[in-house]
Amino acid sequence: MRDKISNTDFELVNKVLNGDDSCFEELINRHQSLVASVAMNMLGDWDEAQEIGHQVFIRFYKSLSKFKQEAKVSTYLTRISMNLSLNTLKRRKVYAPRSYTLEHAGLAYQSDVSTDIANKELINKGLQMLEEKHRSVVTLRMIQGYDTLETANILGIPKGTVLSRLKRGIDKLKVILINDLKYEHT
Amino acid sequence: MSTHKLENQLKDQQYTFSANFAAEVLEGIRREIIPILLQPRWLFLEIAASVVLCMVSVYLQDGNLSVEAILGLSEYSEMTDYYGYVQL
Repeated sequence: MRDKISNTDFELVNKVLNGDDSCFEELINRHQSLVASVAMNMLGDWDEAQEIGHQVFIRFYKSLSKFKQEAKVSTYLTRISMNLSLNTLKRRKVYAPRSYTLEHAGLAYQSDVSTDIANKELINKGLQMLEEKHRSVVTLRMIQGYDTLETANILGIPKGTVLSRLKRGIDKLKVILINDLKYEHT
Repeated sequence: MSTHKLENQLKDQQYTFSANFAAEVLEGIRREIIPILLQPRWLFLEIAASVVLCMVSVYLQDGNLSVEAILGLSEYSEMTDYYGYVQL
């Protein structure tokens, strides 16, 4: 087990390709939090995020032989997570449009859970009220910590667009949190 | 609310799947990678169905399910061999 932990992502990928499937478990454990965060911040729904999580790793496993070890595994997984999340949002619009009501958000804020968790829920609700193009940039740039160029590459948009969407997204999120969700950060 | 505070709050928007997530994914991979028709329970059914199909075919051809019919020897007689031998 210690041997697997000390391996780099690329070494683990090569071991899986040579038939050692147990190394794939280590890859999942290393990157599952990243995938969960992208999916949950994009979708705001735990069940859907988990489903996306499964699909991301199954797709990654299937495409291991084609995986060019130029990009980081984490970046590759983020790209798959983001694409699958955006596809889910498209399907949602067609089959089951949702709206996040302020009453619902208010309930979350007044719940008995600790303030940190309530704030986290509230910010997630605020994110869901952003347009997808702004939400995806805020998620990658501010939550996942990718730089502007990496964010641009993952989303397939120019760097300038990332910067403008980030500015607009943050401004909108502040307005939503303060005016609509009555968020108070102490 | 300052942008700096919001940025710090956003950094905390991290989530983690349950402890058995990896096991669930590996199970999902096994299910998707092993073709359904090669899964043990289906394989047994496929073999059983093939045997039944063969028996039905033999019965329709020969009208019975004797060992000779199954081995394809129901039309065979020793005289056939004999005539073949004489012609040579």
